[in-house]
Amino acid sequence: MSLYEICVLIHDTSIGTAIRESRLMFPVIEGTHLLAMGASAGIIAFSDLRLLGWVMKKEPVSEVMGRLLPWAIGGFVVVMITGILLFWADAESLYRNRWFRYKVLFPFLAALNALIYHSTIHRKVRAWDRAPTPPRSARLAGLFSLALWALVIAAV
Amino acid sequence: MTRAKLAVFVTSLLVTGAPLLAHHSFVAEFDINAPVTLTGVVTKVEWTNPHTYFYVDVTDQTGSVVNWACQTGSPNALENRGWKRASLKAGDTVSVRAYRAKAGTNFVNARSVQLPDGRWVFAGSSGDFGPER
Repeated sequence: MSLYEICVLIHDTSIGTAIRESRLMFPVIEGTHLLAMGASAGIIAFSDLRLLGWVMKKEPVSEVMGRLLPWAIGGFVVVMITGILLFWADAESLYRNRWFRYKVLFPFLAALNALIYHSTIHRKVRAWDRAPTPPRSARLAGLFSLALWALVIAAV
Repeated sequence: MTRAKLAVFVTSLLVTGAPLLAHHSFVAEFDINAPVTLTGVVTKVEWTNPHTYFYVDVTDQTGSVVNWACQTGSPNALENRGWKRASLKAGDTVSVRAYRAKAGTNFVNARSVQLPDGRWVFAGSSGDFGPER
């Protein structure tokens, strides 16, 4: 069975059809998806800007990250759940939309970037926690994150 | 602080501006200088989010039949304008005031539609900054 046939199968399920043809379910799911995306990406953007040394320069990096990231992750869970429902409702045409593949790919790259940052650069955060402008590698991680999340939102 | 403000401004542009481009507005896809009025027989209705579509067989002067795809608003937008799911079905004769797609295919953005009961209803796309007609 090809990927396209799987997408058609998902598209034609009763749940997919119900969402696609609904009066209110679709706009509520889509609205929640966009608001949660705005909240989550906005919060991530602020921690990225702290890494770039542009905002909250007087706050330690670990403090900014520690307070913001749980909210970003919570928001992202809502984004994922509503995103899966939106895909469910429209799987067949999203298969044919080549930009949608980037929308699926970019969050993985953003997550990979965050994983690399947290397992390498952030380990030594004690050394530069209070520096208004963090070291170059941390700034680069922040810049990648900003760019990748902008691409996630722009794709499709 | 000015740099911080700039950063916030640029970020909010990225975050809010991008989806507006991705979710096409009227002008992104349709030509305001190409209004068209179609009259024909409905062949199919797709009552789907985020846009509904219906297809109309239009016979021209030479007698050849062309199937036009008509995009309208979401089911919610249509129902708010007094247009129910059962209002339009295959076999019905309709008139459609619309604008053609910039791509030049037989694809239009319907602005108002005369339903089989004679009522003209708006096609629910007014949130896209396009013209009413």
